[in-house]
Amino acid sequence: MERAIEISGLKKYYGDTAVLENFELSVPAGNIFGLIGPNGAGKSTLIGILTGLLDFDGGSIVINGRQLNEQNEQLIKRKVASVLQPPLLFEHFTSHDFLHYVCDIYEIPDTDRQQKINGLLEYLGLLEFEHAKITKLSAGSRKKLSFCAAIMSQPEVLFLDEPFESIDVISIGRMKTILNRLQEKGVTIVITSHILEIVENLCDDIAILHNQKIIAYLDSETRKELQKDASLSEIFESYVKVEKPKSDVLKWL
Amino acid sequence: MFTKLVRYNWTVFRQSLTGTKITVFLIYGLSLALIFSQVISSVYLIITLQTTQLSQLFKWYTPERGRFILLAFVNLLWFAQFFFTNVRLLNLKENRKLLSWGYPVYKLARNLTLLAFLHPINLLFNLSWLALLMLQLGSLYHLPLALALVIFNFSIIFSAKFRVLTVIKSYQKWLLVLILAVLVVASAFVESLLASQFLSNIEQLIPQLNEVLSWLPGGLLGSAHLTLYMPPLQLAALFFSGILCLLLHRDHVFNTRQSLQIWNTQNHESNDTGWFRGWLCGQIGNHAGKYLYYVITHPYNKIQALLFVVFPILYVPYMVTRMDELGSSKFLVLFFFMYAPMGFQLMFLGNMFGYEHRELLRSMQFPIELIKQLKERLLGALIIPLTLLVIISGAEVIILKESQHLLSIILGNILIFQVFLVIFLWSTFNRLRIVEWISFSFTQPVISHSVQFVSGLVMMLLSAAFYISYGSYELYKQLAMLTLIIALSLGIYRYINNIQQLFSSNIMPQLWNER
Repeated sequence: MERAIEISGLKKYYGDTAVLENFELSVPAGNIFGLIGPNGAGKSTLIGILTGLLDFDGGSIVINGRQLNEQNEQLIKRKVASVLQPPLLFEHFTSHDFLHYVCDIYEIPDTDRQQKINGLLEYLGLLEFEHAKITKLSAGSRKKLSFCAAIMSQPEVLFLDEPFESIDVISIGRMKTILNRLQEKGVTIVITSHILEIVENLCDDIAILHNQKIIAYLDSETRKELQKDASLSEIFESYVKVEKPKSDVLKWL
Repeated sequence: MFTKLVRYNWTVFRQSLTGTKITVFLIYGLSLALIFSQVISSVYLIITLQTTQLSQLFKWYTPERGRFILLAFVNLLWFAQFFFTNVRLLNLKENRKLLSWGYPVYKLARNLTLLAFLHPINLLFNLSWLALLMLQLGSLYHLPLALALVIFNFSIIFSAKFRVLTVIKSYQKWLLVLILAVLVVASAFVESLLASQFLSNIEQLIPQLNEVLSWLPGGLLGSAHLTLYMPPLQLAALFFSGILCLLLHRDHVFNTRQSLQIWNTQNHESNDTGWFRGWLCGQIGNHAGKYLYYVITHPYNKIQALLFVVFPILYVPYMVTRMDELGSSKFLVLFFFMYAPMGFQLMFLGNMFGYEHRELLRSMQFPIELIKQLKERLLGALIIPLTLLVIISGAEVIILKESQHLLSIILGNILIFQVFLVIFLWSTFNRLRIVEWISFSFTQPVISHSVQFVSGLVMMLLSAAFYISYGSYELYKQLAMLTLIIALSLGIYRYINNIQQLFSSNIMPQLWNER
């Protein structure tokens, strides 16, 4: 099977602390891939590295057949987009100006650009904020706008860090529709989220990241098998093996 | 609760301290103390020594001249207090968090108002006034009145300044036009005064000047003892000052409470300066254009920019006509000329990555080489200061073409520019300061008073070193300056080639961790 992302022996340190050590992961092309794990597991750091924001201290990363290094960085960045948490937006632009700025950078042709932007904004309920300053938008609208910008850059690989946080139910449904459309077009999507119900419904393969490494890789077949008897949340708990708190610790409450 | 609030603010302040910040604070504090001691001791001398004693000490001293000096000093003190009293002294952003922990808003506003009054800079001014008034009033019996007057004066300044800042924020465009118009008129006025030999006749004008100065705010406060010598008058003054102080206190508490409760509102404010950003991006590139737009449109920077051009504009006519008569203080004129390029360097280069916060990471994700983006930003930041340097140096070449020290002046300009370029480049990559955009009147300014003050001081010292003629050693000085310019150019070139690494190691992690 063709691989969109191949990571081997990845190392990342913050000072003396290892955030990722000999990290291995392989994501199939065209997959909606879920990366889940407890707080501090290293998910955001991994996304930061894969989107070229953070340096890494060792190992190799291949994205769509290209080694992530100084030589290929621009080529990879052109094919990769992301929605980070909190979203990265140009606060003092209007939504309209920001999306056009992104399109200019990615050299998206002018011809039907405005039509596409309007379509996306309307679909996600943002059209009325098109000329509002981003700094004035609500948390959910900001997240959706960041999502629009990522889509407009026409990526081959899309990284979404907590994409559904602060988003209303209707918009979540519409974002899922967009993601499914992108998948049909062959885009690989990597999602990290703590909302396991969404990951369960949306993703094909899922990996559980804990203590700086992947402790379980559940492809769609394995998941089907496991989820006959348990929810993703229960499977997650069984892998992460969280120690149950003593029953009396909250007695004072 | 108040002591806890003091402790909280002290902890917030202490945690924000860095080695550089402490050094800047120390230099700032020492310089202020020096200026204060000069002013206070001069005033003390005039107040305490009998007229006859002073006349014996200084032949030029007359009671009229003494009053003129006293009034000039007290007005200077008042305007200095107006300028330095900082309504943004307390970190509103941090204190606002206390509201979510149940600190009652009115109580917090009241305590913060009290804390602002007790801030060391404000205390320094208020104690100076108290000492001055007590010296004039003569006995401890007048202490309540003196205290009431001092508090009243501080409250008036605090309220007035808050409103001045609000007006500046609301009417920036009109204010810019007004200030420029005033500057042109003032320059013409100064020039006509100089031409009419005003200064040589100033002696005869002292009584009239005293009359004017005594009606200015500092003069009114400084002359209070002349009118408030009768007990009934003193009682009335105490009563009315007390009532006004209470009213002003309510005003301050109300303003602080409003500022505490300001959050980013959800109104869909449109961005009417987007065309300007578009134009900038078209001229100097997307990355540099966006950065310049952020710096230029920051409310505080607009005022800052105005101040940077005020000094040179005021000195243009003076320099054109009087350069030869200035002798050794000629360097001050040249200093004021270089003030603008230095000021703009401070504004554009001192904190190149603090305006965009985490959104800068978005730019780093674009498929454009990081080094290209950084160099574009650096060039964009240098455009205005560099243009000003060229214009000023060009003007000096035209105006001072007869001067024997023209080469030293031009070398001095370049050297001062380079020294500050080195300082600000270092600061930008080593002292990232996240700039706030919320509530103009109460947030920390982009460039603090202390940094501005110390930069000005360094600039003054450099001007004195570079522009003053060394007589027969002038050639050696020029050679030394030239060597320094070459050395600094090489250093800056090497530094600029290393900015990608500096950015990745010093700035990127901080931006990534900022939430």
